[in-house]
Amino acid sequence: MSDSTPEQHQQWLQQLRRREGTWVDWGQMCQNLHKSGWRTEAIFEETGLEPSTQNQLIVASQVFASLEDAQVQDYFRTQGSDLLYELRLLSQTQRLACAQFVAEKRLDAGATREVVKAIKELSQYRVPPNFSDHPGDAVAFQCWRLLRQKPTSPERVRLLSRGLSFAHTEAARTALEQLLDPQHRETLPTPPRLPWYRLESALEQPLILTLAGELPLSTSVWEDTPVAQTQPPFGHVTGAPEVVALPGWPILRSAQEPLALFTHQLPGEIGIAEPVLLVVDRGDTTWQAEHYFLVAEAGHVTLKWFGENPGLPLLGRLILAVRPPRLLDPEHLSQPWQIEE
Amino acid sequence: MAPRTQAQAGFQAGVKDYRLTYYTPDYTPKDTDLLACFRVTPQPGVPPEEAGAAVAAESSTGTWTTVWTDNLTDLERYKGRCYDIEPVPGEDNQYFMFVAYPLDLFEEGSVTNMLTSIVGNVFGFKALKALRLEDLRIPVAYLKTFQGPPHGIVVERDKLNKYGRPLLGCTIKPKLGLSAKNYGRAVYECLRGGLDFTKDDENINSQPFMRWRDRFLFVQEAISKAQAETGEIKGHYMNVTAPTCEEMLKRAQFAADLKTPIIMHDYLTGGFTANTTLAKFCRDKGLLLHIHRAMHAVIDRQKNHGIHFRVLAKCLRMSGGDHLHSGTVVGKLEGERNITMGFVDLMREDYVEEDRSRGIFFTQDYASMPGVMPVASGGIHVWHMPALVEIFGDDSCLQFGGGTLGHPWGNAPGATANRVALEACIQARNEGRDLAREGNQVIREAAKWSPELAAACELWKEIKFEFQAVDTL
Repeated sequence: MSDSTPEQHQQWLQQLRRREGTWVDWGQMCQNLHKSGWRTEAIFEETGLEPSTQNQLIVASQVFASLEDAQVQDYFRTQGSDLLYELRLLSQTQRLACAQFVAEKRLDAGATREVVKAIKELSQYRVPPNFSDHPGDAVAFQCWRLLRQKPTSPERVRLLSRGLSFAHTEAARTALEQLLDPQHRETLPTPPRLPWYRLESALEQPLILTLAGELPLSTSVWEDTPVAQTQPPFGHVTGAPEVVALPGWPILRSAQEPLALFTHQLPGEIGIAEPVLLVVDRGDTTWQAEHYFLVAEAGHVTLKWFGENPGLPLLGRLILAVRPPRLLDPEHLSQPWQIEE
Repeated sequence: MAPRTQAQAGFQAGVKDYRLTYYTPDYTPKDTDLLACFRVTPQPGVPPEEAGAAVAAESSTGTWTTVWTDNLTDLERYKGRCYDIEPVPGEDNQYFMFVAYPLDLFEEGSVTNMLTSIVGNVFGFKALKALRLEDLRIPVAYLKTFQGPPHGIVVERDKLNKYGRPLLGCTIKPKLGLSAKNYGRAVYECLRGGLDFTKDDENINSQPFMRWRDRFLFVQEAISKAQAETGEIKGHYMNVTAPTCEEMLKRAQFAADLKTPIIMHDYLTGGFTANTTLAKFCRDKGLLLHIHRAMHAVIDRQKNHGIHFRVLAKCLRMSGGDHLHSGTVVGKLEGERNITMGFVDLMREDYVEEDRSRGIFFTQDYASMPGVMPVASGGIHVWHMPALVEIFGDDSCLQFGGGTLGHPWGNAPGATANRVALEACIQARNEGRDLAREGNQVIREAAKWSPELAAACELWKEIKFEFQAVDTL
């Protein structure tokens, strides 16, 4: 409770009723009345100021008091309690910069709210050096970030013009302008995606075991039975013929003559760092535009895609390109979840 | 409107190749289309285009074989279209697939029908190893057929006469076993101590140890007493979830007759039809509606299968609810913070821009539909207050269950400690202090003149919440 007198309370209420002074004064008077035990509804009945408006005036006047710049304070003294209210979420230094920016651009409450949000979100991202921490650059960065996610969206124009109108530094403007370049899109038919599949886990893969026979078994047979030596990363068995085990996926079961082979080179893929296991159906030699095929080239088989029927003998259709399981699966590192009440 | 018919020559029976009909990469979605983004994990060897087409077909006009009645329907008008496919960054076997559904596929104002259409059958499709609905873009034309939240954030604040700060709540514990009389006593202590709301647990319905009518009566008595003593409007989320819609409405009507301000529903276990019914009842009766998301983890926890919570949150906003639990963020990695704040924006903002870094795949215009207040609940205490205020801002409800009832001096001091911590954080923030950096200092300063807060700070200072992010793109 403050030590103000009932006479002072009546004086403040009268000033509020007549809207005397500036909104900053009104905010301070509302706060004083609250501290003196006046309830928001009672103030509303006496003055006509709704509780939500009282809150806005009180908070905005606190923000006003925290702006340590006489010029900015002069600008907002008679207008913009709704604008300064939006700035409550910012720290003191951010507030001053934002208030100056709002005054300079003559923004409304909605736009001010967007600027404040952009400033708050700035700390959540790695901001490239082109963008300063100026409020205008914060909005420009937000537009730049969203623009980069939308290479062809019709909303690009809106975001670009918004970003450019808010950008404060030349570097930020340049970063946005670089996104103005027209998008050159290939009109040629593009080859289909390779039928990639990443094995989920080494535990999923079948393990090949040598069958030693059936008991009773002679000692020599037992001792001479070789252990199947499996090789990483696909667990293929060395010997003649070498074999590799894969789960019985429908695509493999439906193939006529599935065969596997390793490769480090694939059409359209550069620098494959890990071994890839191709599964080719030797029994399927009918050309289709949406598939890759093995063909003979200079005495070697090679994998190719043909947009049109090549008129060559096809040696089999690629049905699967298998990647080895990841060594480290971050999903299995922890099992976090939250409790809820 | 009667469906358009189209004459077609001949009928060829057989199993359909979906890709020919439902994968249309040249299609530009219309403003009136409902758009869906699925995370699809095709079976090994199934091309993504085929998988995308299958998803579009199975969730719209397609069936596994050609049927005679296809000839009586204008499939071009009613079919879903897979119009874009993108590999999921960092995932070898997964794709984001974008499907556009024409507006006429959905009944107006029915979340039930919308979900049945989009996710009803397709999740069991054999060509897919896993499927997750990541996001929906609800066209404004469809959105306007929904009432949405009974009241929304602005009206709730006016009804409660509370502005400029998050609301404070607490779940009464133990979850089960308290008698109605003792329950009412705990409610009174928490509300008198400074909380705005107390809450029934999600599984408190009408069990033998405490029937709903007894609980409502004792709780309302506690609310009235606390209101008279504090001069503030108080509430208790009276859980009206029931075995049937009729019983649910009976309980809600009883709560309305008691002049209680807010009731509660478990919207996933109760179902969307029941929830929409209750939301309309609440608007008619002037009751606020708190929504609990019990069972959500069954649906949204797996990263590659199910429905993301942002979709469930969007559906709730359409179906109707004034509060919805959203998770706490606090103590988790930045990745999850962005994702969580993404769906918090979807709950309370009017216009949300597409932003993949926040898990938002479509720009969503809510066309002035009221906002839903996010509820941060679970494992939080006074030391989390600065971070919660900083992250969630004013329009949120912070729910301290153990953080109130676990106070060494009892329930009312626990509530006071939370209220003091909250008011201190808000005042410090309004004065321009940076809560992210000075939050602990603000709490320590407030504890000097509030023994209740000092005791709470002493008890919980060692507790840490550090989790790996579970939900990243």
